Amino acid sequence: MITWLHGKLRNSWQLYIAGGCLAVAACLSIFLGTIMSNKPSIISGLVLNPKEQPVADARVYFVDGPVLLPDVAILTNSNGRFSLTAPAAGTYQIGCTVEGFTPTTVTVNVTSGQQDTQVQIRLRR
Amino acid sequence: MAAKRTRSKKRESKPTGEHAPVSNLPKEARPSLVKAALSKPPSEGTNPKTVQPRKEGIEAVKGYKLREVREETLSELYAAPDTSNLRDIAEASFGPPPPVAEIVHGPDDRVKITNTAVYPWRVHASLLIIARDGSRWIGTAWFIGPHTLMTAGHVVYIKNSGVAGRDGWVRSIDVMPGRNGNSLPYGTVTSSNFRSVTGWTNNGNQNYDYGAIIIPTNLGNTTGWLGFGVYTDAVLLNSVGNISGYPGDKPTGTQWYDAHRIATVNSRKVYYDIDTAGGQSGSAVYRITNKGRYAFAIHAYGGATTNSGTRIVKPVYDNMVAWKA
Repeated sequence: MITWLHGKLRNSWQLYIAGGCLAVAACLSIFLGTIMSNKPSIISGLVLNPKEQPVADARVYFVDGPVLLPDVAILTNSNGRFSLTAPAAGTYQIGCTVEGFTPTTVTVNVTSGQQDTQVQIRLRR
Repeated sequence: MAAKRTRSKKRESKPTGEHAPVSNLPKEARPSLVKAALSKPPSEGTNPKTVQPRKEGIEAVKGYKLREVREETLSELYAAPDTSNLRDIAEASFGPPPPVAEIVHGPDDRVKITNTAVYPWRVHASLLIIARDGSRWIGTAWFIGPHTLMTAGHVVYIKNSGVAGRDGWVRSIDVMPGRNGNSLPYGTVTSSNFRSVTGWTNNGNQNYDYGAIIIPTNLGNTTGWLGFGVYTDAVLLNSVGNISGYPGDKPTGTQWYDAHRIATVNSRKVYYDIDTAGGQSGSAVYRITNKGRYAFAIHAYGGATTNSGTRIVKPVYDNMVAWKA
């Protein structure tokens, strides 16, 4: 590469500029790669009752994960759906509590670079 | 105990850097800084019927017994991660897991609070949070003044969610002090007036994960509030931490309490084995001294190995004093 560049670019200052451009491109690539890999994964889910109907207002929360996690809980929407942010790859335990049903915990594996992980939580009485 | 005014000749400086305060309100609507000392006293509000605490620094709750852990074993059980150099939540989350010791939380020690309409239980509020994308969340907050409740930063400002339209100041929060299931002894107040700091809103740094909710009524005069203060490592390590809040794994809107000795601290955070669950973000972590309750951290993170809160250090304290209204 350098030999080819040296043949094409006779003046040393041209070589320096080309080298600089390559360095900037490499840095940019690493930077963008870091940003992309740092984008958090989303765990999207659906909570269903024993009749396979969606359950609204279920409380869904992290029980365990590979890192410390915000101690909040999301409520499922009218379609029984929720989405939680998984900040790191690893195994998560997600709890779900609704009045009238047995509290449920499911395990979700999030792999590195995975953007969206789908999960279904089936409640029992 | 009636609220006392603490006089101080020293003018508090406005925190800078990552503790620089921010608000979702325009500049002209923000309050100015006020004078403060290094601890602010609690208030028991009107007709408090206060439940007197026990001598060992815990609340007197029927059926509750403090699970003692020998001091010499605490240091073996816990090793707090050094988070002082963390720049943002992404670094904290996407790097290797923090070097927390593998410990078992043990049995669930939480007890349900039934007399939530009396002090101190009524200073804790159940929250219904509506995020920018319309998603609904539950959390906890506690009064520090007539109009002000403290909570976690991620309760008022969502950061790095990765979900389109979710990040930013939440739309609104319903505040329900002393809630007990369907019973709301002090009603519901809705707020869309929030505070946090740039370390959280710009950088998503867990070390700066704290915020405040300003309500349009002076309901805190009725419920009372917790005191808060800045304490040394030695004091905290000899303290029992108390947490009461609204976890999502228990019946809807019920308040649950637990207490344990503080495991370890660093310059920004406090670590403990006090049992919590999703929905308790924003709870006060407080100590009881001379029958007064004083917060020293804001509970924010949970995990299988340890739970943690944002420590009330001088800049946090200064912001709390400025936000207390």
